[in-house]
Amino acid sequence: MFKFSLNWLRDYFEEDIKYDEIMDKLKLQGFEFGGKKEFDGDVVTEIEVKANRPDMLYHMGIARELKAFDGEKIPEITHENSAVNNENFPVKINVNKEVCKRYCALKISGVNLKIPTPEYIIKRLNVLEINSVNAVVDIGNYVMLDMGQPIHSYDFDKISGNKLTIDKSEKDSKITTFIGDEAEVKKGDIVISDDEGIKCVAGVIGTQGAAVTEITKDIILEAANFDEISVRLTSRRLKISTPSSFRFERGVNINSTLDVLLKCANMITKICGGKIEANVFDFYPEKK
Amino acid sequence: MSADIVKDIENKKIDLENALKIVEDLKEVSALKIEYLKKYVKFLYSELKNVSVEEKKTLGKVINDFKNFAEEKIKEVESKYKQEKSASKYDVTIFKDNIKLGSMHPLTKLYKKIEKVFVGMGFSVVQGPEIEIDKYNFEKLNLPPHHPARDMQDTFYISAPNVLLRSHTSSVQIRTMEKSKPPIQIIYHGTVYRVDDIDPQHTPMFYQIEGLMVAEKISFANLKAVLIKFLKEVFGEETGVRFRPSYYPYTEPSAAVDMSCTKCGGKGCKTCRNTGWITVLGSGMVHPNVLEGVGYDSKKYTGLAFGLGLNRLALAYYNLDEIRKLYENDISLWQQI
Ligand SMILES: [Zn+2]
Repeated sequence: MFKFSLNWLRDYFEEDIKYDEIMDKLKLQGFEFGGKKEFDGDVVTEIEVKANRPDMLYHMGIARELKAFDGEKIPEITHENSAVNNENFPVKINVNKEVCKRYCALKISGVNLKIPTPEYIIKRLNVLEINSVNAVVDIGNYVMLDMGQPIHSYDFDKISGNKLTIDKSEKDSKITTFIGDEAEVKKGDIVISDDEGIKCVAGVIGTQGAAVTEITKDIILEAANFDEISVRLTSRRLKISTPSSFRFERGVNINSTLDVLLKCANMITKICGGKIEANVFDFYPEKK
Repeated sequence: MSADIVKDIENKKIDLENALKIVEDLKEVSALKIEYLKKYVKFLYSELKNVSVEEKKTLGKVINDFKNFAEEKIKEVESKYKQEKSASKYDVTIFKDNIKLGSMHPLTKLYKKIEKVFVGMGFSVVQGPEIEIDKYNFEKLNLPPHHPARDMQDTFYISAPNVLLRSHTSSVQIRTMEKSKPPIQIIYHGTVYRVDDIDPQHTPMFYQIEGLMVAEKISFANLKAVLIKFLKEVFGEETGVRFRPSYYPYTEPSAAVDMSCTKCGGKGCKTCRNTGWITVLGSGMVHPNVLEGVGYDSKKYTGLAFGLGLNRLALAYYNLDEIRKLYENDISLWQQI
C-alpha cells in the first residue's frame, strides 16, 4: 500500500494532469486502489502495490508508469556533482557486502537545524500522514516518498571513534529508537555501529545515540541498499515496520542510490545552509 | 360310514366358529386356514374314495358346503384383521403444510454448476489436504522463505514454521504434478485459511476453486478461452470479460480477470464501485520455476492456472452484498435465492 498525492505527481508533468485520466491509465496497467481522500486542495489515493512492483512505492515511480503508458520518459535526477573518494571520507566505513549491497554517504558541515521545515514539505508529508520532526529528517522522508530511496542521517559529532560498521550484530543489546521506544536487538540483526554501540538498525530505524537534533552542526547523510531478506528478518524480529523497512524488504533501485543522496544533500544545504564536503563515500562492489 | 363323516363335519363347523371367535391376529387366522381348509378338506377328499358311488354324491356336496362355509367364515375374520392393520396410529396420507424441506447450500449449488462446466471442458476433479506443509503451500510455488508476497497470505500455523492450514488450494497443483506426468488438466477446490478479521468482505476461512492445465504448447490464448467460456456458461452469454496485468509469484505473466457487473450490467453501481467490472479470478501462465520444481521440463511444457474465491463469486451470482451472509444460514434469504 502506498498513498500518493495528485499535486505531488503534478511535479513530473508539464501540462496539467486530470485525476480520472491518470486513474484510468493506472487501472489499465492492472493496479488496484483503496480509499481516496480529498485533502486541502489535493487528492490522496491509496494504491495497492504487489510485491513485484516496489517501483510504485514513490511518486517518481508512479509518474514513470504513467509516462511509459504514453511512450515517454521521466527526466533524470539532477544534482550538483561530487567526487567519490572512499579513502578520504571523514568517517571510516566498513561494510559487510552480505547484508548491504551498496552504501553511499556524504558529510554536510555547518547546517542550521533551527530553521523550520519549509511549509510545502510539511504540507506534503501531512497529507500522507507523516509527522514533521526536523528539517533534515523531513527532507529525508520527502526524498524517500519522492524517489523511493530511504535516507538516514547521523549527527557527525555523536559518531564515536570516527567509524561506522555495517554488519550483523555480534551480540544481543538494548537500544532506544529515535522516537524513544525501547527495543532489543538480537545477535544477527543488521545494524550500523560505531565504537560506542548501535547507532541504527539498518534500513529499519535509527537510535537516539546519533540522532540529528536542533543543535546538530555537521551531519552524515546515508543512502544504502540493504539486503532484502536481512532487513525483513530484522524488522520481523523487532516487530518494527517502518516506511523504510517496507521498501528495503521489497527492493530499492540500486542504481539511483548515489543520485538520490546527492539530490537530498542539495535540498538540505539549500534549506538549512551548510556545505557538502568533497569526497563522497560509495561502496558498490557488485555493480548491476 | 358317511354318516360319521357328516357328523364330524358338523362338529368341525362349530369348532371353527369358536376358534374364530378367539383368534387375536392374522397369524392365528392363517393357522386356522391351514388346519381347516387345507389339512381337514384334504382328509375329507381322501375319505371320499372309501364310500359308494351313491354316497359320493351326497358326501361330496356336504364337503363342498363345508369348504365354502369355512372359506367364508375365515375370510370374514381375516379381512377384519387386515383392515385393522392398515389403520395403524400414523396416517401417512395426511397433508401437513409446515414441513420444511432442506436443499443444497447455495455455495454447494454454485460449486456443482461450476464443476459441471469444467468437467465438460475435460477437467478432472482432484483433492488435497487442508493441513499443509510449507513446501507445498509456499516454497514449491516460487514463494521462498522471507518472500514479501507471503504477507498477502498470512495463515494459521499448526506448528510453526512448517505445518500450517493451507492459504490457497494451489498446494494441490504441486502435489498432483509431483505424482503425474503431463498432460494434466485438473480442477481442485476446498477450504482455505487466511489471518483476516471478519468484515463484510473477509472471513478467515473461505472456499477456493482452482484449475491447472499443463501440456505442450499451452498458451495464454488457451487460458483466455477456458476462462471466457467458464464465465459465459455460469453468468450468461452476454457477460463481458477482461484481463488485467497482475502479480502472483507462481504465474508469469499473471492476469486478474474481471467480468461485467452482474448488478448493473456494466453501467456502474455501488457493487462495482462505478467501474462496471468485478474482479472474479486470478490467473496466469505457470511460472517456469514451479514446473522445474516438480521435475517438468519447462522448455517443453507450459501451463495455465487459475483460481477463484467461491464466496466472492457467489456474491455476484446471487446478488448479495456481504460474504458473512453466506454463513448465517438465514432460511428466508435462502428461499429468495
Ligand atoms: Zn455494477
